[in-house]
Amino acid sequence: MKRLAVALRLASIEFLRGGVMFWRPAPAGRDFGALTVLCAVLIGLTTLATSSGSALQRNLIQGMLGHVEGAGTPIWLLVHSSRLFLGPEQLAAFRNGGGFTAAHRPRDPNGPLAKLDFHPVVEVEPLDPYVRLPCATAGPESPCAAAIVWRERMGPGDPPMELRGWGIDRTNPLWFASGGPASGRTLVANAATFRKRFDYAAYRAGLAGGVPAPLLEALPERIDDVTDLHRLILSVRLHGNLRRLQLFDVTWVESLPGLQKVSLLVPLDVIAPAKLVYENENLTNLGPEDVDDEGGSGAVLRRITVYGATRAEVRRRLEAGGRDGLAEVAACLGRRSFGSNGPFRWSERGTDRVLELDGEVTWAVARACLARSGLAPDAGFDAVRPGFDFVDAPLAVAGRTATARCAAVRPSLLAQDTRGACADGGAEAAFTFSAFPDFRTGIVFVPDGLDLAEAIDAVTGQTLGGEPVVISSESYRDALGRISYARAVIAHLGSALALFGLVLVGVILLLQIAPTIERRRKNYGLLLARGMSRREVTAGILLQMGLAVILGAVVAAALTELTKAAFEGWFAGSQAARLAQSELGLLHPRLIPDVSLIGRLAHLGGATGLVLIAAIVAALWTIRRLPLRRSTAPIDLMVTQARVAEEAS
Amino acid sequence: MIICPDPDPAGVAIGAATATPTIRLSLDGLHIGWQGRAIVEPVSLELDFTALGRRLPILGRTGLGKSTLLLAIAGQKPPIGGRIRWSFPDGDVCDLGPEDWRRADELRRRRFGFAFQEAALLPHLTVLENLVLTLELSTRADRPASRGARVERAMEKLREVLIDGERVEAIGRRFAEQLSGGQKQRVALCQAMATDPDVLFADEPTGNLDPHTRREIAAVMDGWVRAAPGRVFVWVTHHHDREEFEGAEVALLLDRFEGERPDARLIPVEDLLRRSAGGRGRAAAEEARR
Repeated sequence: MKRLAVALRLASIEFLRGGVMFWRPAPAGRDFGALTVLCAVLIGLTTLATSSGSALQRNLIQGMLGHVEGAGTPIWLLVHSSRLFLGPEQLAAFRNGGGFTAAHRPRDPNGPLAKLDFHPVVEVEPLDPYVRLPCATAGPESPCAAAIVWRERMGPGDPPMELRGWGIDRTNPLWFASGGPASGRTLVANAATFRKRFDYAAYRAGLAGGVPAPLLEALPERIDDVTDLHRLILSVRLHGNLRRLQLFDVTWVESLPGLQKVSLLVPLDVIAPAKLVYENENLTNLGPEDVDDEGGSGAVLRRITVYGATRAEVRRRLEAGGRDGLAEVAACLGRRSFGSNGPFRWSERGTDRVLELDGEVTWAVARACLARSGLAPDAGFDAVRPGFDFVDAPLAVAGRTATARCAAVRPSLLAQDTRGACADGGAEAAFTFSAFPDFRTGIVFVPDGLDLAEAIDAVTGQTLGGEPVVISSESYRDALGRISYARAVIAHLGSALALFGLVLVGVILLLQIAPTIERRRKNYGLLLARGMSRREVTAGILLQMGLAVILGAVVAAALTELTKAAFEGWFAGSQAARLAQSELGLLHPRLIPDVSLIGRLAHLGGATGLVLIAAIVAALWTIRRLPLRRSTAPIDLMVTQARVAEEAS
Repeated sequence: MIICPDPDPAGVAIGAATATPTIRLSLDGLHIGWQGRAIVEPVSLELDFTALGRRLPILGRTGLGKSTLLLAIAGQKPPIGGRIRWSFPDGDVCDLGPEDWRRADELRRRRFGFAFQEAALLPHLTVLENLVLTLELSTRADRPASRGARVERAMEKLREVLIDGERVEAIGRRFAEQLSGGQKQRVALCQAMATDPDVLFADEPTGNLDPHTRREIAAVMDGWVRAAPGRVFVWVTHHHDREEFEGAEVALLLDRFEGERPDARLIPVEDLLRRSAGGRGRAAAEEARR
């Protein structure tokens, strides 16, 4: 054991002095340095080759089905026709994998296949009655401004593309992968489709005169790119048929993944209340801006009254500078969204002037308009006063849930009361946004590394009450079939290439290892002459091979990451990446999609193992040919074969 | 302790002879050669090194097999046939033949030192590291136990073979490629005697040296043999100088008659020197006639 330790130490010294420490002189040559570099290149190439094989498959899947960083491949699912919607209980059962049939039950009940989550989606269309682009110049049910600002067809060759949005929960991976904020009145917009289809000039022109001036001024007059637009005004249902124009903060993403072309993502906590108040006209969709002039919440501005408008001091204020203050205020507030479809008009009530608002404008906006005409109530002027109504049936939104008084909820909607409190005589109903009647579609994200077909089988195989819960669409099944075929072709090609690569790695290593060992033939003879055994010499040589491979693997790991980064940088600026972003909906297209650290280590470890085995086989073969065998005498290694032949003759 | 136990009954008989406090070598029909082909007639000898002055030079013309014979008796190359038996003053006996050649491994570690004809240093180690390595691989009981002691011993041995103007520290730090031919040969010799082996073998240890250095090295080797009573020095040389044979009683001469394989025989050193002087005189007269 002591001699073995000496042999291994000696081999290590020889390895380190053999050019591995390239900055130091190498008295015996640099062939171990060269071997290490060769191992690094071979391991790096093998790692890249195996990574590229997986990358090809993953890009194929991502290109066809989309991909969300950190979540996986989105699979578009439809609620089975046997049921109208997925209620809270069904969703909960679905998430717990309670309805798996025996045929499709995942092998591991606690594995990832059993924990795939169904994320409901509400499709937001141009004519959406809940949230849509504003319709400031036409009636409530016409395409109005949307058709003007969204150019459906760019040219003869361009396919028509509707303004399509998805209402999704903020917990949906697609939302946070897109950079959607955790709260606030906000939306995520697809820059690629907006850039092509959204006519901002038309949008702003359509809003001009119809939108309260303080809101309109939040939008720039012109933009160079849609991403310069940090806010958008959308029309949101407030109460029954009443709508209100509201500012939304916009988060732009270059594109959104999926087989469908999605232009907008709107949080469910914005859509669901609007939908609830549409279906239950007793309820009012209040927001945090609904406060009265003393800061009281839940107050909707119903009217503005100018008391004693004919009085001299009031008239002086209304007509200061020779203008018509009341007309200015009406013009500033724009047009009514619904009802008369015309501008706001003051009416006379005796000596008073009254402007009916019905909650379409918040007090903050109205006050801004009054202030512009010098009519805002202040200490020296109290003839203008707002009139508020406190809403008796507000829909209070908190996170992913809204609550309302039981008395105000229509009986047909009580079935959706999550807590069932109303049925038990309680006072307040609660509605969870992730379980609404119109949620007939949804997404399941299949994490990277899981088999897509198996995952879809597991999801669609679930039943509740003996009936299927969700089905995958025909287009997905078709795409999956094609992907499976392509993957099988890649796998077959990969096997053939791997065999060829193995032989190639072995030959290349032998070409370097054989001369490296043969050059030391005399040294090994010297070691035998000094008393070292053949096994100890062999162990030293194998240690050197191991060191070359391990050090090569470390270099290869750095080299591979750098190469990948360089490739990614090169790919990021390519036409293919731009196409993936703008047409395929990939948020972050990558040449070699990121795999987990374990996955990367597995690729590196596999390549290192392969090269190590090849190096050991090449070394043992060369050692045997030296010959360093049981019967070898020291002198056999210290003289050349030519000298032996000469002596023998 | 018997380090090469031999079940051969003949070994017992020879082992009995080891009672004498001397190193003995017995060659019994020894065939040496390359690739299975003998290059020297079978050699059979009984040598008592004490009687021979503990020195045995091996002589002969180039190509007759001097080095091959040395390698065989030094356990570096298996013979084609015959037996080699080494007996040591402490009673150890080692019997070697072609079939049980692996016994030579322990002999090399414990009993022998060998200075090869060509440079015998590992090129990736410094001179000092090469010397220390020899000590580390040795299994001799008197081997320095600690690394510090081994370094000390190596420096001491190196000092013995250096000539004027060479510093131990400077030479010790050098790699083989940084040494001159003579330095390499001296260091190789130093390495062989670093463990103070029972038998020191050297293949033309003074071959590459100038006459002055050769005399100095010969003096060093003579001093090494004299330093302890049990030491034996066996070497190949083609120098027929008195200094080269200092202390040696006989030499093993390989000679060949026309058309035959060379054979080995012992010849008194004095006879050898006389023949050598006569040969040189005849060569000088021939030169003068020309």
